[in-house]
Amino acid sequence: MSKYKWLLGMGLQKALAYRINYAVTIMAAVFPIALQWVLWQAIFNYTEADQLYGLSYSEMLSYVVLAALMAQALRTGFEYEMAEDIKSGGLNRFIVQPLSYFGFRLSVFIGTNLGYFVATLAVMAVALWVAVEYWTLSIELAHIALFVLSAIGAFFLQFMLFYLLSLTAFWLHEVWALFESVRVISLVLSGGVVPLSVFGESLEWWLSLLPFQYLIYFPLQTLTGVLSFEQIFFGLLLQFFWIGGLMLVISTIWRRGSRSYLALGG
Amino acid sequence: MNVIEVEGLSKTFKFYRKPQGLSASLKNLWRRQIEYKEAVKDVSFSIEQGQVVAFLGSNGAGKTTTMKMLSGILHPTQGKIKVLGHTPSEREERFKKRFSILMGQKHQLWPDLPAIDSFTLCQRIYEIPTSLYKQRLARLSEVLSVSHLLDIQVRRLSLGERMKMELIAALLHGPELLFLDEPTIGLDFLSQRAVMRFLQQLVKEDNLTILLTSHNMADISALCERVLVIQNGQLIFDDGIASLQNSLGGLRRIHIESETPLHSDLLRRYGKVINNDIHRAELEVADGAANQVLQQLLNEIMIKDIRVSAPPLEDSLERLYSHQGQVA
Repeated sequence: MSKYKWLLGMGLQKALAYRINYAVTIMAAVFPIALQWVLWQAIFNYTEADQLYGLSYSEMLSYVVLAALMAQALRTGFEYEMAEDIKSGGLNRFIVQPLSYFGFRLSVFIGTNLGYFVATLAVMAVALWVAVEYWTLSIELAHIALFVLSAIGAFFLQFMLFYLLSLTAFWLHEVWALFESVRVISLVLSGGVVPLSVFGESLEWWLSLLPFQYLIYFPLQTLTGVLSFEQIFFGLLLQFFWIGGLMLVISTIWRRGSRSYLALGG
Repeated sequence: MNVIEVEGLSKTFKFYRKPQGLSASLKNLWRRQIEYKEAVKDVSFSIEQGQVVAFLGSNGAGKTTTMKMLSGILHPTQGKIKVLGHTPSEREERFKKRFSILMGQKHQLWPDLPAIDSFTLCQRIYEIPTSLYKQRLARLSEVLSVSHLLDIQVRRLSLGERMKMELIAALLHGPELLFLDEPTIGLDFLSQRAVMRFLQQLVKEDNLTILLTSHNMADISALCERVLVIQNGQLIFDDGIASLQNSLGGLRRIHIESETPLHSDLLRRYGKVINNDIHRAELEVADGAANQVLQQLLNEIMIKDIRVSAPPLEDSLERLYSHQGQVA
């Protein structure tokens, strides 16, 4: 266990060394946020509606901002390293050493992203505070606590999803296009661009059968108090099941993949 | 006690063929021709504790594939393997802590970090107690004379220095068994010698079992007592190194240096002339005849220097390979 803790520390050190890099990505996130801001302003002005898709102007804008930040908090990047390990034989090292690859990736992911995650949550807290002050949005403390819980769940769910995705490199030789498409699709389906209610009731229902909404949509709905406590607990339970279920799928696929692994090079 | 036991080991790879050109690429989209390559065929052998065994064969003969199966990287298609009492493909942690594999072309050190950081990672991964770790690191880095290089970024080290660091990383957890795949590849002869001398010392002091592949015959004859030769995936030779040399039918080489010119016509009377550049010649004779030939040569030629040796290992191997080629 201590070796994984140590790796986590190494990841954190690496992340701290690249803190400027992080600041730049957060700054870059400002542009899509501004774009959406202008867009929704125009839509609300044009339609002169009080509510669109069940959300008021201020609710919609705060959702869009918070969702963009949440998507930043959940960013990954290890999938390319994993594909490279699988393709070029870097996995050999892990197979012959008493170190689980899953454990290694998870520790390094937590280590490198913990800093980003906490920092982004802090930025979100500021945004939220502004929204509460400016638009007199009401947020309950209990909802904030439950949101943090669901955000941590989203953090692990995101890891499982992208870890599973990376395992396709056992069978596919070019993964770049797949990774990028899944990243965009996942961003949309998780509610990272617009609330899922925009897609209409029936599609929203279908989407609730997929794990993606537990990444961004569900945590934000928890935060803004749209859901009842009962719904929140049910959602947390489902999120937890998705994490566990994906872990099972991962271990099955890993076993099959590493059986067909060619151990190229050297 | 047998450290390695292999019985009826086979590995078949599946691959696709793609002829040159775009049309072939398009055809491949619809139907790909699957072919199979038997990289290792029905190989059986066992290695005792403390033995140093060379694993020889030409490129693509199946050496590395076999080593990967022995270390659990690849699953065998068929056959049984027991290494240190474990089945490698089960990849148990207890098993992994007892051996090391070092591939000359694959590195485990992180190039951007100084070696010492990678060593600390090794300590964590293998859960080596700190005092033992420090003691081993001090000893290994001293013997390989790299103590002063531990805190330099690995990418800034020379190839030889990096190889020594890789060796240290492979040995820190005190493995009982060492797989070495081309450990001296790309090294200059001074570094080669340093590495080989170090391995010799290690075998003597720690009773380490080593399975080594190399194309460098000097490595092999310096270190190994036994030779396994694999050709086209099949084990074609398994015996002591002396008997590999004798497999040429007991020949001896006589190296002659002389003040006066040496004539091939004269030399041919005694044996086969391997080469002759007037003042220096090499003669191949039957083992039993060497003594007699020596005496006669001393009588007939003004000899400056004369010496008898076994024919180089390469010759035995070449004959072994080509002989096998004819059979197959």
